[in-house]
Amino acid sequence: MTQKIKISIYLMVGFGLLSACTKKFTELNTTHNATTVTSIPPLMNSVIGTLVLNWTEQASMHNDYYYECTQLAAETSVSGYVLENGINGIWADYYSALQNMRLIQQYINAKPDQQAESNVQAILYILRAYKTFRITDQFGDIPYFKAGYAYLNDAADYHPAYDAQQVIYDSLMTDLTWAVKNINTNTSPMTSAGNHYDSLGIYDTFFGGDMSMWLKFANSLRLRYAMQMVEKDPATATPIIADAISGSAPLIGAGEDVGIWPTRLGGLDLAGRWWSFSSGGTGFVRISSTMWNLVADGTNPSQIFDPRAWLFTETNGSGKFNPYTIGVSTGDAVNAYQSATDSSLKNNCIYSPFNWFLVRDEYYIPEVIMSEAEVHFLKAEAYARGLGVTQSLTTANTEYQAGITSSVNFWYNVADNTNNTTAQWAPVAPPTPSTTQMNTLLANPKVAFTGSASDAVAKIYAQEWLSFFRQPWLAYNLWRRTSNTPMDPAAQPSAALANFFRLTYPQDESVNNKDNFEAQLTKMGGQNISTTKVWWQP
Amino acid sequence: MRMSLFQLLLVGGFALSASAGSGQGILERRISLSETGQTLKRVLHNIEQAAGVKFTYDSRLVAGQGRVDVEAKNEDLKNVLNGLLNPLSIRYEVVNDQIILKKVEVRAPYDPSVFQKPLLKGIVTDKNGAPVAGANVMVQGTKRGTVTDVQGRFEIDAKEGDVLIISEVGYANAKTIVGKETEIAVKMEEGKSEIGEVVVTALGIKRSTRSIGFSEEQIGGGELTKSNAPNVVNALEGKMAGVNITQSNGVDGGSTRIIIGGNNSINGDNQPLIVVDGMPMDNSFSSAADDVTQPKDWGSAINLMNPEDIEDMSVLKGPAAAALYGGRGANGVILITTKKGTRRQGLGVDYNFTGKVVQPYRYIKMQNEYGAGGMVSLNAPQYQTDGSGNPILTDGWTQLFVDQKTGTGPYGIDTWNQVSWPGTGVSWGHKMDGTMIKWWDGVERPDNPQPNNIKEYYRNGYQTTHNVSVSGGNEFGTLRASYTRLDNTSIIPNSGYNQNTFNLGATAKLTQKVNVVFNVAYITNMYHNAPQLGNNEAGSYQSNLIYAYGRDYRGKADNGNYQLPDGSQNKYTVNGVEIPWFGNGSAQYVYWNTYMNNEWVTRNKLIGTAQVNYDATSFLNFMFRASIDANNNQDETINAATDPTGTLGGTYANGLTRDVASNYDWLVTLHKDNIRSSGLNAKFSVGGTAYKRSLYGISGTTNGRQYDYSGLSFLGNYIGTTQPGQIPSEQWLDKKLNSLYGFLNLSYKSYLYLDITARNDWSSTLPSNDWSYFFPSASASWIFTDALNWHPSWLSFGKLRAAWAQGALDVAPYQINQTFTSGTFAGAPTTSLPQSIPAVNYKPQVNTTADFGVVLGALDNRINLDVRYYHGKSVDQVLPVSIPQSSGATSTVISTGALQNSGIEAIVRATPVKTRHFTWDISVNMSKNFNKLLYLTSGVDRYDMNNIWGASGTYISAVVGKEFGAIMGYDYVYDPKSHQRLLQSAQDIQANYPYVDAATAQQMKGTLYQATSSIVPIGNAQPKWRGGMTNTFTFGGGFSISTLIDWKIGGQMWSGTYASMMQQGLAPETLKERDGGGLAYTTPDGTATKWGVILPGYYSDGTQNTTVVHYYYKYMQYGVWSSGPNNSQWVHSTGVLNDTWYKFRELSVSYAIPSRIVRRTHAFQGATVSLVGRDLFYIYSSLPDRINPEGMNGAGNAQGIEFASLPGTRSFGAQVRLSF
Repeated sequence: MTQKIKISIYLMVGFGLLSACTKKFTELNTTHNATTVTSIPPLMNSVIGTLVLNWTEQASMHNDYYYECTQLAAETSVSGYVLENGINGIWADYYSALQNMRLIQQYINAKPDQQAESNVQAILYILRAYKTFRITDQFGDIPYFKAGYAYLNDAADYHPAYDAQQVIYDSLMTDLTWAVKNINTNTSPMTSAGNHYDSLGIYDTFFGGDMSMWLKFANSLRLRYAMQMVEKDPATATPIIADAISGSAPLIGAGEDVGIWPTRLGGLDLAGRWWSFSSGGTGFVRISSTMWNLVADGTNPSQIFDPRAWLFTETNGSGKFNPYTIGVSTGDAVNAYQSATDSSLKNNCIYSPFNWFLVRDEYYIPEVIMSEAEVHFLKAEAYARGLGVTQSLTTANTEYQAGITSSVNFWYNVADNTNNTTAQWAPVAPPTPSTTQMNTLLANPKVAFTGSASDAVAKIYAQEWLSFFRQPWLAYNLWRRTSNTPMDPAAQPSAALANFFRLTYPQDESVNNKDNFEAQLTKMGGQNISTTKVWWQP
Repeated sequence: MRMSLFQLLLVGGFALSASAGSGQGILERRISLSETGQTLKRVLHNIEQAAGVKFTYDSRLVAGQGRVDVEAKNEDLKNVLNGLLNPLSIRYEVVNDQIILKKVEVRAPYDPSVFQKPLLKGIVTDKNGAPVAGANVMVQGTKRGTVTDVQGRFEIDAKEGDVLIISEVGYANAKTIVGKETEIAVKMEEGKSEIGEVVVTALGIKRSTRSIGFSEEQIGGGELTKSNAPNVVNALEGKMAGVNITQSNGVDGGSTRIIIGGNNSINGDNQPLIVVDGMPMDNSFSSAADDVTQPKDWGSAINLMNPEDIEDMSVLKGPAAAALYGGRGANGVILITTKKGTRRQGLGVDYNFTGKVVQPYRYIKMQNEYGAGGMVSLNAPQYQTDGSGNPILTDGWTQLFVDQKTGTGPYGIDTWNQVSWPGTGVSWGHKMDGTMIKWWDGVERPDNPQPNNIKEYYRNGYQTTHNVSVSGGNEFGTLRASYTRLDNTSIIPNSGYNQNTFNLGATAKLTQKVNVVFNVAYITNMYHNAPQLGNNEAGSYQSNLIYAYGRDYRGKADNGNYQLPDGSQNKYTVNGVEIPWFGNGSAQYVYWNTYMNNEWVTRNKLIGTAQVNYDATSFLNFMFRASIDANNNQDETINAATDPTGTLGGTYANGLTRDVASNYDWLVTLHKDNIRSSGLNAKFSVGGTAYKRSLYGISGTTNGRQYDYSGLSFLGNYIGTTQPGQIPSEQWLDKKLNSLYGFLNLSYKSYLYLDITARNDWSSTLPSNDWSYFFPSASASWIFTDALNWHPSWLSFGKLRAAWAQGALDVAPYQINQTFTSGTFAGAPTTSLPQSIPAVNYKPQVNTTADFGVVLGALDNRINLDVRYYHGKSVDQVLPVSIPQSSGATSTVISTGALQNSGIEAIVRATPVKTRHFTWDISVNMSKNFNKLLYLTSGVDRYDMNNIWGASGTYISAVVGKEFGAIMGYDYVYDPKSHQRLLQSAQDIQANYPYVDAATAQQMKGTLYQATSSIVPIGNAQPKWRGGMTNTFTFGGGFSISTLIDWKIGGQMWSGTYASMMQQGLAPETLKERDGGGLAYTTPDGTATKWGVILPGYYSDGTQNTTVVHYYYKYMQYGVWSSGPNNSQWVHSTGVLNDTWYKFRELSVSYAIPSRIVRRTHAFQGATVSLVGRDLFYIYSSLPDRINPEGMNGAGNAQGIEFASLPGTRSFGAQVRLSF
């Protein structure tokens, strides 16, 4: 054997050793303890999970700002929660959900028969619209169209630009309208290509696969948000209002109040509620004089005319109803909700706290997302103002009274069914109001639908505002849009509260999204402050 | 598999190879030659042709030798060379296929008579028994001399009473008196390294230093054992230029950080690859060791290497030297070669005993005049009083944080809102003047100084090492077996470790063409309770001393009685009164935790290599090597239950880790010398490596559960439902790295050398598009004195070297995978994208380094200088960076960023005195490194490597445009004009303290500085210079003394110890004003004092501050944690100190008992006794109060944070080495 042949053989053996250079590399580098594949349904369910209110949002925004700005409730002292934490919480919640929604959209787009995805697409549009409306309403312009794409790993997606709120509104409205037109509520629908529609199955934990509820929810959201923009862009808003009310799609009806119902969601624990009121040395939230004025004619129990007063509030440490006048009343910086088990322990509070059960219950009382009452009030406003429908105070009154009745029934229904280990309200809750009681309520001059059209509109706003007692963020929207929600003339809110029109962008944006943040500041007059109005605010 | 063009060229080039002689036993080759009256150069050339060998020599050595004659007929090359060269006082050494010629230092004229008489036989070995080849052996006072062969043997004409002088490069001269025996054995002690040295280079290839174009230093095994250092790496401390060794707090058994040159990676490992006999060994640190807040350090794999079994260690500096290791060599390589046994006289048994005592001696300085008390009132400090008005010790709150009378602090503002929170050790209180006060336990005691409370927790540490080895060999091979037992107790009570090492090394010559090298070590190491360092009051006594314990703390008398008679934990509460020294809640339990909370980390390591060398043809060699590094580790924790029933408050945890790595190498080499008689020699090799590592760990804990059975430790011992911690957690790491490489070594006429290497790696941890990456390197060495034939009288040797290389680092396993977070909502599964997004387009980090050096030998090589300059850039740094939440995620990984790394190193070696009976060798090395972060990615200008106390503390960061390792924190605000600090005006104070009225704000003016609104660079930990100086004095009669002084010049640390001691009134500096050395100051109650200070600085309106305020405001601003009204920031720059030190690192005295005495025992072949003092004292330290200059927390990239460093320690040791 010549040396050259020898060398060749040696070399072949040598390189043979390396022929498996990258064999099984990918398999070897597979992560052991986390999945690398997923699909639409569990992603969608994680988005549904984010509909639950963020704890810090409730503590630092609702309790410290939204209740106070709207005078729906009062606070005896600032809670000590840092607003920035609440801002970070809501911002993180939205954008981490948005990236999952982006991924769902990517998966939908990859499906062969797009028609088969109609219902799933509609659900995605509805969830995305609801979550995006909520955040843009609080911040104003936000990064949206280019946001949530970091997972694509393109450096261009790491720093999303800001979008104008109006453009976002228009886009979300288009999505909702698409959903309303394309949801197929038939049982086992088929596409024109002969495929079954895809559904989320058990992963639709929100409506349990009931597409008609998704349809009603979508249509009701169109009504809400068209009304939200109607002062600034009536041309776009009124046709949507018209279609939502008079079109073929239904709205949320009796007993269909949309929300996070813990009992329907596998026994969910809404621990954030108790925490936001009572933890960390707070517990300072009290009934405001403004709210009290709308439910009673004085602090004597006999002067209460709105039965919801019994459910929303309770007496102070001395057994008296005593509302707090914002900017006027003083003292009482004590935790009125100090006991997690004993509703009678009020820490000698001076002013009437929230009803202990509203604060304490974690397992029954829903976080309302959209109530039937709200739909009635929105319709009432449309008819009272002739927005998208022919103006009719009569129809407005019908809707107005239906709204009040729906709200009262809703809360009594809740109180009479809240009976679990953390809150046994049902045994002690007052009985459902009688027809007489309801008539007394509707006849009270503060409630009765009398006077001019503008008086009527103010009453609609007042009752809608009251119906938002546990949805202060919606009361905050209504207050900003209309500047016509109840205000106690005796109250002296601070300038900071009177002009608190938006949440400031989180610090994370100024540090990590610097260029886009600064470009946005330029548009806003150079400052990231809470006195700047959002686009739809007159 | 993707192959680069370069590899194809390599393969192609391979087929064009030529034939030549090679390899083993070239001295036995037979040649025939007849030369008369030729120049030596010509004769050597002819021998090269005839024997197929290659000579390497200094041209002057050969040029001046006149004409020579040689006559050989089929004779061994050895005989030919001996006959030719010995008379010329030239000796030779064989390295691979090269024969290196050297000058014999003791000159002797040619005396032909020596070859005609019966000869004395002998063998020369080093102190470890390895043969010393090429050593010059001379009979003192005569002209007779010879050199040793490859097995260290020689024959010489000598009679009884003659004195033999044996000399060899790298060893101290040995002297022996010939007795009656016909065969003698001589041991040589290692000495200074010189030009002409032979070193082990990448892949274990031995080369002459003159031929290498990169920077490398080598240290012998003897040096390692002699230093008595905590581990083999620490033994390098101060001895090599640019090799920076740091050990967190200097605790034996802890991790040692090794940085060669500077840092190449911001986020990755900057430590060199450690290769043990060809096996790359994982030496990564645990995250607990990298922590800078409260590190707990169990050491890393290098701690397990037994110095007794090490033949030598080579440090390959930078990517050029380590090019053949590819990405894994980017930070340099430490090559460890273990002993394989040698042929020797006697039984071949060695016994070594080493003992040392580690003594904590450098305790922190604290004041011993004032006791517990805080800044609660501006009047004179008062004791807390009981209901009857009698003084009592503070309850841990009153008089420490609030004034007993006012319930708040000065000016009616809580202390913690004016300055950051002090600890319960705050000692601005009453003078410890013997006043009788009621102690927390109800006993009346005088309040006296307690100067010993700073040391009574600590003890002396001890370590003993017994090593016994058997070594021997014959013409078929060698064998060495060794057992080592080490026992160590720490300076911390109830802490220590032991280790057993079994080591076997062998070489065997199976046939003329095949030989085998084999080694295996099995190590068991059990570490009990690694010291808790840093800010951990439950376990760190030092942390409590500077934060939790007031100066009147009575030590053990207060909280040493940690266990009650019923076995439960002493809560130090008597009649509802709690000991005040509780810190944040657990400082009082430090003794309980020390003794009753136990953790054992047991490591079993098997590391071994088998190598086969095959000389296939006269020009072609093969090497195949298989190595394994198999580890089984266990980590068990048993924290005793704290209640009397023995079922509550305890913790049991146990975890197992299996970690096995294997490495397969092959290498084919062929070479040809003097190609076409051009003087050009070429050697070409191609090889490959397949590396695999697989780790799996599983662990669980019963933390926080009530036990079912008292005193039993098993995971099932609990009452109630299973908790998350009890479900075992698992850990994985799987990785493969395959490589193919080739290299070409060219040399021309022994003065010009060129190496070219190329390597391609395929890593399983990278995405398939990027898992193949290529590294080239080139290096050259030019002996200009020989090339130019330029030999001025002052210069005996001159060499220039240059190298350029690229290295690359891959990433950790699984990092590239996009995974989803799983959960459930409302009873249905959920998945979501995580908030950290992996980068799909990972690229390996690439380092490009250019390296230049000059080596000069002057005055007959009595003075040698080796200077290196390097300049490198590491691009595509793989880093997690923050991205805005609006992108959907909060962080991603980028592959951008560039770090520039350059430096200069110099080594001077000299022999100022060299006489027959006394030699003084001196070696000095200095290095300076400059790291600069050039850029990260758009929109990102800082990467935080680590921090202490999160957002409330200090960061170590990489900042674009700054030197690597910036210390970041809140700083004073400086007036842009005057550059003076700005104080808060009355308006500023009112803005920061909304409840303060204007009058009080005016009173407070001058008490508070302004702080920056965000963290800014306040210092940098990178030293300006590092260096060391070794002096070795060798006396006649086997007696030698060696000293090592090393230093670090420049570089800062953020000392939490200093900041804390200043704020809390513990440092001696804080005595000045309260002892009456301040300005006139009248307290609120009208007392005139000398307690005043003026905080130097200006106000924003340009006026200078002249307000005299209480001394509290000078010191209390040093505190650095928690939040306050001043935008939640305090100034951290108060704790930044320059850390320059010079240390007397090592003193060793060694005495080799003369063999004539040793032999008389008829049992021993040799005996050496040595004494070693290590870390003896600091000649200078710039730090105040005896803060430990080497007490940085953590072994990771974030260096520069100190908090609660341990007392400085020194050790004294003795070694006895006996050969049988």
